[in-house]
Amino acid sequence: MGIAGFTKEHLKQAYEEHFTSIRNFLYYKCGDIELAEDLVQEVFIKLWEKRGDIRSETVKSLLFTMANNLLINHFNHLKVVRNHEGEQIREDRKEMNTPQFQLEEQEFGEKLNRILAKLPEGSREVFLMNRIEKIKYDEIAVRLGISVKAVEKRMSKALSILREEIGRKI
Amino acid sequence: MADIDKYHQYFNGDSSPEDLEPEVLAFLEKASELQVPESRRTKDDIWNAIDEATETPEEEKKTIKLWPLLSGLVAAVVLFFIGLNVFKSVDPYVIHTPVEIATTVGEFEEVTLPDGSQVSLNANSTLSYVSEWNRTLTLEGEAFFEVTKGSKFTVNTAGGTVEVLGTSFNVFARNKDLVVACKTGKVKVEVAEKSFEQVITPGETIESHKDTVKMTRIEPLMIGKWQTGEFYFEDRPVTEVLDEIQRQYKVTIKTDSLEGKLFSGYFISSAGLDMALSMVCEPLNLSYNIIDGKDVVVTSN
Repeated sequence: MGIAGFTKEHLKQAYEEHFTSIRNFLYYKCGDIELAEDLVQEVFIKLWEKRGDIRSETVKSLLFTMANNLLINHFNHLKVVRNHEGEQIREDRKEMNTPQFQLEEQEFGEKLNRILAKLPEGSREVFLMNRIEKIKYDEIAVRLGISVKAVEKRMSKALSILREEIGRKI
Repeated sequence: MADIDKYHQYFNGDSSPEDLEPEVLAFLEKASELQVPESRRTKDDIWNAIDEATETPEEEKKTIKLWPLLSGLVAAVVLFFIGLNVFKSVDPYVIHTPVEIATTVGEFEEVTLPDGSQVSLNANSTLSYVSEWNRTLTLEGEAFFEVTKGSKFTVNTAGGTVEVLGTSFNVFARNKDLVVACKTGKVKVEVAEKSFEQVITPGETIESHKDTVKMTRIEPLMIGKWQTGEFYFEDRPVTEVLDEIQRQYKVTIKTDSLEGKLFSGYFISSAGLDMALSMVCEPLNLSYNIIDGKDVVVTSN
């Protein structure tokens, strides 16, 4: 993929290939499926706008980086607005929701959601990527732009919290 | 206690779960069954929106080449059906009955147009079109449009005209002011009186007030947020913001000059009148007084 070579067809291919993983990634982070879909749309439009810059990075990691940035910008904007209001605004709505999942076994599902809510965001996203999309550490590392060691650390954290929470129930 | 490394190997698909603690494993396996929730928009829907927002000149040329062929076919088919109708019923009187949808103060209405396009109407707004639907309508007030792809779709307002082929955008047309914000796709805005015509893309806004017309940019995600009760403003005269509050709650607001202050922020209509006024007045150091729940006075401090 060169500077002039990225066509609409390439964009469509990139979309077909990466739509689901980018959308899921955004969902794991913000817990709002409609926001995730709005942002996926923005990501691919932005990718098209930047198509002249696609060079050393692969399309995939560029997409994940842009998705992450768009999400941060989205919430930064809201944060700024709230600060101008000072403490007059009692917004119980947190900045990002934790993703909620449903399982057939309701009890299990509720326990899982509770545990997921306790994970730090970084651990939660690697945990969900690994469990739901069955992605290995090196792939997660590429998507998040971190080292495999960092992925390992986050998974260890997720695991230790999971064990702690289960231990309490027993 | 199982070795952490054994878990990492399991996560990485390098080993089987034999040596892992059963209760933990049960959760890990259940976690694998989780699914990301679905929403209304399909993968294709979203691609269509992306496709429209990223049209290039080469593509437009392609579409134009196709048009002569298509229009020829369409004309032939239309003539055929007209021919059929002539035989079916002889009715020389075709009355164009206007269809009108109106909202009053504090109301919000969602409408599906005959071509499947969706419109959300903000408070105190009127939308009308002829029953022989031809993708043209008139708007006084504010509406957010999601137009299905197809032939030219036109919104006529007192302040100008908006034309699209299939896209989503917000139109604010009150008195002779016109503010059009493009959320997806492309929108053509025309203000004949000012000899103004421009095509805008996502994030771009055309504002026509009194003697001026200008283009500004806003975050596309903010466009049409009023549909969920969140009213955002960026550097707007506070009187404009209070006008909107009047439209959302059944109140009359009287003010002094308010020193021409500008407001950047938002209010949420579901939070109630008092909270809304507070969100707008506090940052600008203004005071407000609600009398009998119906009249409000806002003054500078």
